[in-house]
Amino acid sequence: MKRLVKLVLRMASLLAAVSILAFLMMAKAPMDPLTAYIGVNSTISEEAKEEAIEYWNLDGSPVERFLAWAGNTLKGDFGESIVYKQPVLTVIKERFQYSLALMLASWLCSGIFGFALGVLAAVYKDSILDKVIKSVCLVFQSSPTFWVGLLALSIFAVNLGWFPIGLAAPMGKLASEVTLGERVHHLILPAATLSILGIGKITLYTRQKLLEILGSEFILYAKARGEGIWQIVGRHGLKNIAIPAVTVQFASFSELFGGIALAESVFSYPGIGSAVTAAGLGGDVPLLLGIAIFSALFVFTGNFIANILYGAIDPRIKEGGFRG
Amino acid sequence: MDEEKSIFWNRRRQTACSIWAAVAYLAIGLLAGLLISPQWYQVDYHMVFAPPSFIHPFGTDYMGRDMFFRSLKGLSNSIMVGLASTAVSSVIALALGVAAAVKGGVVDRFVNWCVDLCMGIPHLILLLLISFMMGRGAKGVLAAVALTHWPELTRLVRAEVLQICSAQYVQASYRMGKSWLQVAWSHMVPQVLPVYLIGVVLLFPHAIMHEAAVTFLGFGFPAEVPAIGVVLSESMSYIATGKWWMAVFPGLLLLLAVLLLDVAGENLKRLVNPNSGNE
Amino acid sequence: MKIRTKGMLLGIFAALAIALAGCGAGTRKAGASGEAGASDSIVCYVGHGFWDGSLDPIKGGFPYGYGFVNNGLVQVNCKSEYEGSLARSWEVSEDSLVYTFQLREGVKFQDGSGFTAEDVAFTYKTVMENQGQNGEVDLSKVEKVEALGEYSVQFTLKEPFSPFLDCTAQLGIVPSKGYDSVSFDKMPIGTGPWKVVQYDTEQQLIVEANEEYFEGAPGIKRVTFVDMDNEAAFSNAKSGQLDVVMVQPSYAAESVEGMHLEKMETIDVRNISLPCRKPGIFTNAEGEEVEVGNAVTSDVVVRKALSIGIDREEVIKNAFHGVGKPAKGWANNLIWGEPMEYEDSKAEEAKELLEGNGWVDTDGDGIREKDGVKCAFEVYTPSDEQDRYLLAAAVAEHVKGLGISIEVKQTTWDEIVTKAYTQGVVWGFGQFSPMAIDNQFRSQHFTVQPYSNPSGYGNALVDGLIEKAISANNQESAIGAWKEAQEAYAQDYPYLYLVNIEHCYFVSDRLDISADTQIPHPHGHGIPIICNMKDWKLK
Repeated sequence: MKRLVKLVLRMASLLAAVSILAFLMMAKAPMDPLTAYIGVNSTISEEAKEEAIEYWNLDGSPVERFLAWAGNTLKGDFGESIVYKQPVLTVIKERFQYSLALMLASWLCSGIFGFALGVLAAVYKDSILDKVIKSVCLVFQSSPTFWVGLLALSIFAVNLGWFPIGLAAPMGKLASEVTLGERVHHLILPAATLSILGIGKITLYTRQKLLEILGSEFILYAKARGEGIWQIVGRHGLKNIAIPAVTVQFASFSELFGGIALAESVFSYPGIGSAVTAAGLGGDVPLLLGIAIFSALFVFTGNFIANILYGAIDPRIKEGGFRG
Repeated sequence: MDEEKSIFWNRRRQTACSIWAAVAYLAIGLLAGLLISPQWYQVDYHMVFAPPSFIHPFGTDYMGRDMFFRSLKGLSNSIMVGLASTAVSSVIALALGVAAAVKGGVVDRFVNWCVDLCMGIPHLILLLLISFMMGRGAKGVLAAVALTHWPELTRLVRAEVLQICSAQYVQASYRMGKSWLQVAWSHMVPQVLPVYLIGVVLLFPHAIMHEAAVTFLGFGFPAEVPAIGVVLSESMSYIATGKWWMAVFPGLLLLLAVLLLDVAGENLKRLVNPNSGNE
Repeated sequence: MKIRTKGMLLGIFAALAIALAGCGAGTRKAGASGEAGASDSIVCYVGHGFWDGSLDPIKGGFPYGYGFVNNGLVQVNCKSEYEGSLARSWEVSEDSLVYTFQLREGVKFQDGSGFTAEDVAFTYKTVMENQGQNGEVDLSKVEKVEALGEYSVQFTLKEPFSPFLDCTAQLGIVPSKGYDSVSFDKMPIGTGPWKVVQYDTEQQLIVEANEEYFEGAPGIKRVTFVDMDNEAAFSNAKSGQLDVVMVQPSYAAESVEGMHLEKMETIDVRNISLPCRKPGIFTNAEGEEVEVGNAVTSDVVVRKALSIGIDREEVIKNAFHGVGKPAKGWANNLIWGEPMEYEDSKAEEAKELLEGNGWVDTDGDGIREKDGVKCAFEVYTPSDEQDRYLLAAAVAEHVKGLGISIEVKQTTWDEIVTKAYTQGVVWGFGQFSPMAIDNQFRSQHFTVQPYSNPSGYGNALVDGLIEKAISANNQESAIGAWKEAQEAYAQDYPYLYLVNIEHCYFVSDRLDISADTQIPHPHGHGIPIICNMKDWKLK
């Protein structure tokens, strides 16, 4: 219980630090605070400008501005997005649904396939299959996500026409009429692209862990008893590697989040990744801050769950670090 | 025959080979970039959208510019940014990691907290934020990549140093009156060096990839500079009309660079610590 | 963990993912499905404009001079002239301060209420009270507006303002009783031929024909506008899912089965601003010191050489595959446009001009110098408009032959506004109101706003003519003065006019977009094609 409380406190302190850091970065950006909040093309009246300045304390020092922003944020008012002309929370909420679907899909994909491939590679160690799987994983890990996306778009959507080119649903249809099947259809290419990144890591990790287990003594005993390799794997191997594998999955939330910005850009998918890009390019400070906080929260949750899941089973992982 | 072959290609030779391959590719990339004059990928409106051919191995783009030279120059830019930012990141990581492990206490907790902070924000978001703060452009992407790659390396260094902190010869040094800096420099760093260097080698390709990603999204090199990210983001507009060569080849160049470095790094890792990776 | 439990967990996750994929966003209303290929409805892609701001006319929605959801008092016809829309006729007083409009009778709003002068007064008063929210229609010169009876409305201006008629074409009338500032952002109500039935943020906009429209119900019953990337739209058109798709000039050479290319005339012009002042410090209206001027472009000889020396046809061919017409000034499909008389492609003459004024290439690098200054400057283009970059790059390539070096840079608007006073920028202007001339050439506007008079042009004669045109009390003398102003600044070449662009669309072969009732497109990227949508027919 005490550990839990400590963890929550740590999360809160880190979240606060993230907001301060993000805010500092905005404050240092070469843009005057008022323009950063209302945009370059704004034609609002002088009175409206004064109101904005007062509400966000824009003519105060950076500390005062931060306190004003923090105060408003804690009340739930993240301000209005310049690029989308809607409240920041609305933008995040609307888009996060799409991104969540995408992330879950690719997460599942890389988890399931990675796991399966890793098991195969370990069982057939040193065979051609193993070598092929290892090389493919290495290539996957080294591929730039957006390039893979472009290739996928080019081959599967343009040339073969199997999948739609971008968006989350077919156009011209009323929202109430879009079927689940169509939504999934639009989701497949971006999800597949994103999962390419994660598959390599999961596969190699699963393979390594399974090999370690297969080399241990009780497996030797099972073999001596005459159990077939698949029986061994099924009965003893999978159970032991399942938890660590899932744990690693949860801890890769951070990288996943980064990947969606790229995937959504390539596939014109209306998620939070494309919102971040648009916000950065459009100088939309309120939205950028909102997304920074939100994504930090998301990653913390992922790490939190990962920590709970394996406790202190494998401290080596913690120290070895994750590829960012 | 087979026996001889496998003895020839022992671990060390394999490693050396992969390292040389990686270094050669990088050197060519870097040099090529410095030697290629802008004339070679000039605008030529007569040759717009030419598919790959003998004169234009990678085809031409929407302004008739030769894709081969443009991509090569772009690769060189990415490598330079990667080198510079890896250098900065690795120095930061070494300093912080050693300080945290050796001084312990408050310093250690602070460094850990910083690491958690940096890893708490999704990497790409952090990159975009820093780049935005620096006003985007080449300066932005350089700062962003340089300032965000130190956490994992720091953790690695810290773990290694912690292991040898309690060793007898280190304690003896302290007893003999050496300050922690001297101890760090003469004992810690050399011990950590092998693993550290491998970490740096493995960091380098990711720095390159991240630079390309940031530029692709529009936060890095501006559009008139040949850079892999720029070339790929431009190619997006022309996929719909079937100009596939604009996306495939530049990406391949990048992939090759990252792949070679990763392989070299993995081989080095296995050489130093045969247990890791379990073959 | 048993395998079965693991399998269950995975199954739950999978279900979750699929369920979440089923969620989405958007304001909904029930209705029939609209697909390309249906017998009386079409699907179109005309750019992102609908979702960029508010659709509410009070806040500047649809300010193009033709009716869509709302009608203005006046509208623009295909000869760029103003004709009555909700107004039958109008008179201007002798001192040009009072405009009286006689309104059409028997017109109904889409919510059933009748259109009267009260609605006009309400619309104009609301805009005047909230002028800060409307950046498109400038009513600051209006003193008051009052309804004289049910079908007659009178405007009194503070000072003579001849472009006022354009305001009456830009501002759509909203119902005084049914107006709601929040809902009108997405679903405005008006007297126009189309009513909004569904608005999905950043996804689609669905409109249906207004059967009671006073000029007759539209032939097509339902139109869906979709929002996506240009490239995605083009691919969707290729697979037969769109009836109308806006494309960039670079796609004009493509062919799409079942569709044909339509090139629409516009009043939209692209030019490059060339800073006319010598480098120095300028104190702006707020007392701040701003760096302005450019050593190269401040020499009128360089500007003239650029204007007469380039071959605009060649530039257009390279940048836009030949889509677009050369422009040396405002397009002459504008009633006040004065086409400039000089010829271009006179490279030899341009070179002689430069040499004669001291711009000589002394070090053999292909770029001229004068007094140690290289004949080189930068041109900035916005990163969200690829075609402006293409244009600038084509020009840069072209002027190498004259010994001038232009470096093209692509960046975002917030950086462009910091560079606009010292380097060139590619601008796009296309509006029916001659205030564009005031905006670009009036000396007082310099440094007040980066989009106004970026060249820093200052010519008292031109300023005087602009004033004369604005305060004229009839259209003829106003137009005369505008034309004189254009002739006056022609000698100074403060902007390098390049091209009068053409908007390109692929249109389905089953759709007739009534090309001869299209008005010349104002600035608005793809949207203006809908100007005559009520005349469209499915074959």
